[in-house]
Amino acid sequence: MLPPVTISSSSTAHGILDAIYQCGAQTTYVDGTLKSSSSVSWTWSKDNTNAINSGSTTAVYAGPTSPNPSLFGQRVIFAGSTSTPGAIKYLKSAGDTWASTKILMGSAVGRIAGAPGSYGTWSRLASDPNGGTPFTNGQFTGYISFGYYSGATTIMIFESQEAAAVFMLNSAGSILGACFSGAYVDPLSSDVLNAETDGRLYGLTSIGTFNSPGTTLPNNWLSAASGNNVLFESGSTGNASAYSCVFTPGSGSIKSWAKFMLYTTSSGFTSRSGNIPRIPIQVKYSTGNFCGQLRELYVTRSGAMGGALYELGTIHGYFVGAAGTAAAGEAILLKG
Amino acid sequence: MALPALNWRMLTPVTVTATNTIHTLLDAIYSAGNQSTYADGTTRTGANTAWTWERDRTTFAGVTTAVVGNPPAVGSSMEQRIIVCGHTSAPASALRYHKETTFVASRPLIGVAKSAGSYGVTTNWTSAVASSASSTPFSAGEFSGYCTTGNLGTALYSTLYMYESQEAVAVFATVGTTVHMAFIAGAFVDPLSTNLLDAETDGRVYGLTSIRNVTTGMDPGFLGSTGNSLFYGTAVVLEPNCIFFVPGSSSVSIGKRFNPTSDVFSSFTAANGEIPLVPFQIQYASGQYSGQLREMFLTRASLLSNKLRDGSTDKGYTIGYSSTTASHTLLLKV
Repeated sequence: MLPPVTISSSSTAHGILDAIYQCGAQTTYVDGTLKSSSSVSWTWSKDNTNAINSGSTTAVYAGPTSPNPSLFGQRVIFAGSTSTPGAIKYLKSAGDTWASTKILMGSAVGRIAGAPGSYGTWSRLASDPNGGTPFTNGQFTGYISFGYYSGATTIMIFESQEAAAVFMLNSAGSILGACFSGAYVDPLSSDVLNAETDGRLYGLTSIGTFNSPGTTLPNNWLSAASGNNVLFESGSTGNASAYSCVFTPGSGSIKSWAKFMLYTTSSGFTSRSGNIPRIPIQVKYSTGNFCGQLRELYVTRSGAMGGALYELGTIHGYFVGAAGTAAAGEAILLKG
Repeated sequence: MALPALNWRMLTPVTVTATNTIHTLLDAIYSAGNQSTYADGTTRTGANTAWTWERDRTTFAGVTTAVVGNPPAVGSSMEQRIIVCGHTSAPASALRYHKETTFVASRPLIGVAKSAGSYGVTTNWTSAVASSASSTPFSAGEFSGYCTTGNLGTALYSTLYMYESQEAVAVFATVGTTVHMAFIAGAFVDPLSTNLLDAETDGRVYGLTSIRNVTTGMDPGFLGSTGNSLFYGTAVVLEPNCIFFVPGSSSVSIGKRFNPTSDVFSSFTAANGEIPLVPFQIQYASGQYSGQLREMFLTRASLLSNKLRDGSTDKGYTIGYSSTTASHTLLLKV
């Protein structure tokens, strides 16, 4: 976990993107360890030269700093602007279009050496010969809503070897925007129909912007059957609903997924001795097929967003919960 | 640290005698549990999964009114026992129930015991009486009290299916093609903790789960419904049971599944057709975590008593509500 960063200017998307960059570009983790000596660090960059709003940050992108060479290359990108871009590539066929009030995000993967390559421009048109990816090669999911930024005060980022998670919080610590990007779904199979040739599945989940600006991740986000405004779901309401997907192994096409079960937890969800359970989360494709199991992400007792789970003085993980207080909302644990 | 892995084995199904009384149902359990080979033809005698079943034909002379399952001498050190009993008329003294209040003629009763003594020497199934909260069918130890499963008064059982592992037993009986009696008993939940608030001194949690007493049979969605389902305990009489001994205690707590699901389809496979095995979690009614089912997994929709095979190797046995219609399925891993 990187130290949370306070958003200095939330009046435009540029201020939000600056805060995402500032958070990701820090040199130490929240526990004081150096990013430079860590195997989990991502390198974050920003674009403030795009002609759409030249001089302002309109995109932030990142990828693992020292990716395992046997794995595919990958990137996550966030974008936003006050001026309307052209017909950029959106994830959903029905579109999940740009608005000056929201931040967009997307994931890219490359199955060749060096992919997905260097950054080109986030506003590349979908009709571009390279398929609309902001990078020089590889496949791109297309953009989806990360969240409305109205009321946002804080950015929180978690990194791991093969995935990153970014959250945009309001002053109460509740989640306005949220996403995971990377290889955070384990297909539990190496068959090439189930997994890429490196054994991974690459993709994203985002809460979307189905609800009005200011709406936060609900307390029952793990038990809610609705696919809107929650993580690990794929909403049925079309544009702007929550969405989760992976690249079809060996392909540039996308397959959506959602969690397989519903989980109701509370602050009392511990063992009798107080041990904190860690329940693995399985996800299935919209076709009903099994997709995989989330990697080192577990359902657990309620916990304050960003709070650390300590055992005997050692951090064992971080809570991602619906609220900034421990008492409210369902939560998952990002194992440290 | 997780407990040792269990290996579930299937006994050859037993046809319940056509006369169908509580006595013949108990005889069917006894017959199933005393076979010398498993359904796959391998030798059962001496296997580390082989339970020993005894029956009581003396408490009520000439008819079987109780069967007792004794675990193999591996794994658990808590001297657990499983008892299934019943009769066509009430015993002289009111029985000690987990939550029921009255005896119903011919209704199967089930209970579990730990640190149990012998059966049938100085005590029998009628020794667990309502007037004594510590009474047990055994000569010593702690007893859960009787739970009910199935309703023999309206059911004509056809076939009895039994599965056993080193530390737990699962029994299902069908009326026609549908399960009407079902229970799983023993150390089938792993608390994933050795803390003595979470587990007995041997690291286990002991208990049972059984379907309720209705004439319609087990729900097709028995892993997710709040009706006639497994792993869903309530305090209401005649509703399903799921109970566990409080570690170090003679009292029991009600349990239920943590992650109900309502959508298990025949298409629930990986893209290449591999069959997923999804672990299943249990919590107490209080909301506290209890543990994870041991080598029992939620899987794609299948039938009762099917085999999951990988090539020529048995990987597990499927438990569904019906032998002809696929729905929610629990896989018992070999």
